[in-house]
Amino acid sequence: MHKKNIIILLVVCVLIVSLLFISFNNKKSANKNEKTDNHESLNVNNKKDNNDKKAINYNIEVDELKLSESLKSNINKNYTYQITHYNDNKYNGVINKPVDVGLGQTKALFTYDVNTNTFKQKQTNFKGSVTSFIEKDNNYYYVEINTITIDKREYYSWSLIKNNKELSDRKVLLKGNCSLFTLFPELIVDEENQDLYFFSSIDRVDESNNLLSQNIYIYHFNKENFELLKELNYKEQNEYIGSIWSTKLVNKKIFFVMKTKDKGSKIYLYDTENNKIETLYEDSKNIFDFEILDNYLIITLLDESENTLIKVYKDEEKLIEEKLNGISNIYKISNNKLLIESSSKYKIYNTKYNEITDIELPKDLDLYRYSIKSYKEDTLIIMKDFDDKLIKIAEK
Amino acid sequence: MKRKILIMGVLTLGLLSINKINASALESVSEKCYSQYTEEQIKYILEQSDPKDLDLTCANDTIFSKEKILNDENLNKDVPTPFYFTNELNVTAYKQEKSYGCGYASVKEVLQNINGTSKSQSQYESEMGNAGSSAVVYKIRNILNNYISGAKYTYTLGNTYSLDSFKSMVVNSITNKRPVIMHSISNSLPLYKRSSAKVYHYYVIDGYSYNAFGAGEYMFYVDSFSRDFGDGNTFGKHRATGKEAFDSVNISGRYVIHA
Repeated sequence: MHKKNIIILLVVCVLIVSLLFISFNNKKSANKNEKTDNHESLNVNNKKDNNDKKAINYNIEVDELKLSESLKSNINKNYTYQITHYNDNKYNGVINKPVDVGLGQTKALFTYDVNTNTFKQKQTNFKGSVTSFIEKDNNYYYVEINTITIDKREYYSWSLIKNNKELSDRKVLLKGNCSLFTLFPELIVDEENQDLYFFSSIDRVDESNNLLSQNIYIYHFNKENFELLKELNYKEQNEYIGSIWSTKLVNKKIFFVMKTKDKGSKIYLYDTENNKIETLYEDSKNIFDFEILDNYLIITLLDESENTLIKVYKDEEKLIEEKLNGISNIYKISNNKLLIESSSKYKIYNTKYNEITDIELPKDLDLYRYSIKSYKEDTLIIMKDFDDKLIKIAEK
Repeated sequence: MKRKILIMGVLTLGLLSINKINASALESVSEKCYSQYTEEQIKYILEQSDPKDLDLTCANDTIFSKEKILNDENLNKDVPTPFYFTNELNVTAYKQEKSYGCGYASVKEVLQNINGTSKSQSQYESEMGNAGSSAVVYKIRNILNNYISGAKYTYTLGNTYSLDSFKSMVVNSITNKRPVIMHSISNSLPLYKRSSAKVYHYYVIDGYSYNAFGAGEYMFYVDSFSRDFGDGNTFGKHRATGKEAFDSVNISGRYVIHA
């Protein structure tokens, strides 16, 4: 009897312990499931948010450039060319002999009249590479680049040239030296007002490439010459310009990017009408490029890993901040659309919907191979040797 | 028998109570999720943390609030990871000393990387017999092979590759610890896209990525040319897609110098 009771007691204890163990585990699982359920519902909501996004469809049309036939029939295939200026009525460009390294050796300037389909080229012995060329008021204005040694250091020597259409009356209007390839001066055209500006810089550096001095000059075209509008020197503020490539003219205002002493950057605005300079935007990161679409400001910033942060502002309110892989380039398609090129993939930012959406290009269009520039509303010009095109991007 | 049942019942009740007591004890432990810290440590944590990020009721089994935990979990989920890993030789960039000197700078960069030492750019310029003008492709091949043992270099016209065979070539060369010298037109590289002038240039590929699409979707390169005023942050070592790098040599008359 005694033994039997002990056995019964043991069995009961085992059962109770088992019950305890099961109940403890159940409690733990219940807690875990509660957490998981919450997390999943977050994901579902996110998906739902994505589904709520409006699907924006774009129509992409690719057209041949009218200029292309003339280029193919008039330029030696062993040479290359750059289209330096264009509008609805004409194209200007340079024809270069390829070199091993450096800039191409310029052999000729060309002009093309769209209305009469007339292609003309003029050759001469240029004193360097021509990087910026425009035909204006029956004269040619262009920038010649060469190299020069100053204090045992090599600089780029630039000259703004005025010449006649026969290239027989060369006059140096302005000249200077810069230490960086990214500081070549630019002729900036205001098509709307039939105006022309020249943006340049002159700098000096020491043996370790530290900046000793830098002056920035903004000139305005007036009666076959260029008048100085503004000279800037930011040495006191420890600010400098690192690249003239992103300089833009919008509504008679010239926008340019300056780097600041704490490794940040600023966008300055020079108003050509009242001769005043303002700060449009400032950031602690490096501004790579920017575009202005009506009252939207879109900026691309590079971090130390050279990934891009794209920010969209409207009236100083930040609407979008998004990270992109690698260095991304932006191109204005229209006053409400921007093409974003990021690691050979393409997106469009549309102010109408305030969204950045992926787009699919025609399968036979390797857009990353082309140099891309704004052309006119809804249209970009894409350029690659003897394969230039226009692409129109509009909402369906 | 009745006595036995009564004993069993009491025991059961007793055990259940113990369970409850233990559960309470467990709960009270999880509430004090910071119980492992000393008072000094807790004070420090409170000083260093944003009060909005803390939840000292330990409702989430940590001292942090649910919002912070969820935020951290989702922090970078929208940043696409371009690669699983990379194979990089970490070539040091040297600024080219002359406007035409990118070839000599590339030679220095490669030999410094392979051998751990190198001569000056002007010495290579002199040795290659092209003083005063840019480096010649086959002479770069010759001078590299003069100074290295093991895997040797050759040169190939860029437009004889397809994108895939170009990627394979880069992967093989890097695997052999041989950076690839690109005799290019650089305008397809993202940093040069805004340039209004065509840039004929040597640069050095020193690595590639590996991701779901295979090897070489992205490539890493060093550039002796692009340099800001004493500021190496923005210019020097860069990344481009394999397509962009390929397109810089997929042109008549441009070469790749590789192992």
